[in-house]
Amino acid sequence: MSDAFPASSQPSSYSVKTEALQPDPPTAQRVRKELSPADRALITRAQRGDTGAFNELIKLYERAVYNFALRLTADTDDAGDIAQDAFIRAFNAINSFRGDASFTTWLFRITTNVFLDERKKRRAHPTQSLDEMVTVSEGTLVKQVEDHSPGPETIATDKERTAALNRAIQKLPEYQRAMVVMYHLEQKAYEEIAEILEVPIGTVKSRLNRARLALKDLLSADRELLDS
Amino acid sequence: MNINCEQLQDQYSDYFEHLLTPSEVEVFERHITGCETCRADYHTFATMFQFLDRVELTEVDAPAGLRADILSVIAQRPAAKVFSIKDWANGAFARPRLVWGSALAVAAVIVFAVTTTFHGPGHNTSQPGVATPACMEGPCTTVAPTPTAPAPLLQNVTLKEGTASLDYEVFTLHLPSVVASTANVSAYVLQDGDPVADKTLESDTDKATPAWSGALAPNVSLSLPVAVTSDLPAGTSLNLLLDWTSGDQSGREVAFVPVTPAPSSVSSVAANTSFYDAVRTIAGEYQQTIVADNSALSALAAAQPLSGTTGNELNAAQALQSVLGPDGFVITPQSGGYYLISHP
Repeated sequence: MSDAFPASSQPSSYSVKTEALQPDPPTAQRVRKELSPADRALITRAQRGDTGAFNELIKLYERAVYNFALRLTADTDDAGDIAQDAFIRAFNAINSFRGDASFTTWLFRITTNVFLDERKKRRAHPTQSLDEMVTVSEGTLVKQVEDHSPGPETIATDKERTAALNRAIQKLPEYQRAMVVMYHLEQKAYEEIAEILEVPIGTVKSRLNRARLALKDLLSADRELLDS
Repeated sequence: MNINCEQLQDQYSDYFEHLLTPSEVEVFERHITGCETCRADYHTFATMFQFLDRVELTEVDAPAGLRADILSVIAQRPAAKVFSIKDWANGAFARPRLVWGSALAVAAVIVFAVTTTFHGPGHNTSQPGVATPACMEGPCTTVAPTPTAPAPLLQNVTLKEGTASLDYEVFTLHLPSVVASTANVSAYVLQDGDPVADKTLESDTDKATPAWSGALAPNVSLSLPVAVTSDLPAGTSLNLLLDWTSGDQSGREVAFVPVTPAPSSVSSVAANTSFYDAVRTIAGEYQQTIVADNSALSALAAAQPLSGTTGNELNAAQALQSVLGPDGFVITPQSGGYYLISHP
């Protein structure tokens, strides 16, 4: 393999392709939801044992936590269990929330830990193969055993690509899956993922690159889908 | 500078997101221009990345019963039950008989079981002190033991649901790293109004209930489950005094652990309150475990009564600072989830 090519000898098709595949940096920043004064007041009340205030906090955050859990597990029952456990853990640990992270970040950290703990237990006592968990149709997450992935002759649609992508995401190791879901589906910034996982930003970036490489390998069978 | 295919892969994301320096971009593009395999591989990667960026997943509502289920589980947490101190004192140790106690008894307890766990090298690495096995694994600063300011004996407190609707506060004890040999440890449950610095309370069962006494070796963690009482007023705390001696070293600390929900109305700490009552009130008020270490307890004689008061503090740290700060006490959060009061 040759390492050095003079600029003039670069194939023109390559130049065109890499420009297309290195798009302009995003102008919109990934923004995190800051804690509002009203939310802060609810948290303070919950820290004093006010379950009514905690009820209000669940109302505000249950959708985000449940959807995050659903994207991690691709299973509505598992997602419900994880969301429930996460909120119970949050209630038990509410006094350890000091406001130095956003409440969403704190809740996602707990949810991620519940997910990883649950999968660890499941590995110790397996009841169902993760390969059976697949995703179909734009985020409607269901469980199915048969593989309905389209063959290469099938006309690719975004729906099929999404299904292929979600199947591949579900095959990633849990930690890599959590990172891919947080960055690409939850649109979290590297800084917030670092806070959620309590690791340095550099570690997040390098591990996410590894996760994307693994995802690319998993999708190699569906390359036609992506290229079409 | 050239890079190989594996090093190129490490930079895929950074290249895609324009996070490489110009010189790194040059190296990246020089390689990929001449390497057909990497060019195809990166093309797949970039196509996938682009697709990931424009995937729009439908958000769904959380299940209708989710919130109710969560609140139901929270509400079903068993209320703290009362054991009679006298039952415990009368020797009902192995299988105590339940007796509903007086609401005046703040935290009557019974020791249910004590378990110990040996910890290998590394457990004490966070504490400077005498050489420990952890030092064999890397650099280790050897500092002369400082008996006047040892690290806390109490490492953690967790709530565990027991059998027969009993709850236990499990105190995890581990000798500070400055203690090189086995120590004699005594644990007492303090009751309302005990003067925590009173050295005579060990023999006064009206003030303190012996919970456990025994030898604790270095590098051993001891779990001390304490069954907590019930029918207690809102904001009650379980308060444990820990004493240890090892040769000419000794230490003492008090843990204040909330066991019933905070009161609905905010009660402030008035001026001239005793240290014990002030910290006990804050622990219950803010549902926060607080530990006063040896240095704090040693400073009490000069500090009591306290000169600070509480007002509208948002959390336990602020309340403790308001009450104890003026007398030189320092409040620091600990990794075990509790606040440590010390007096440098």
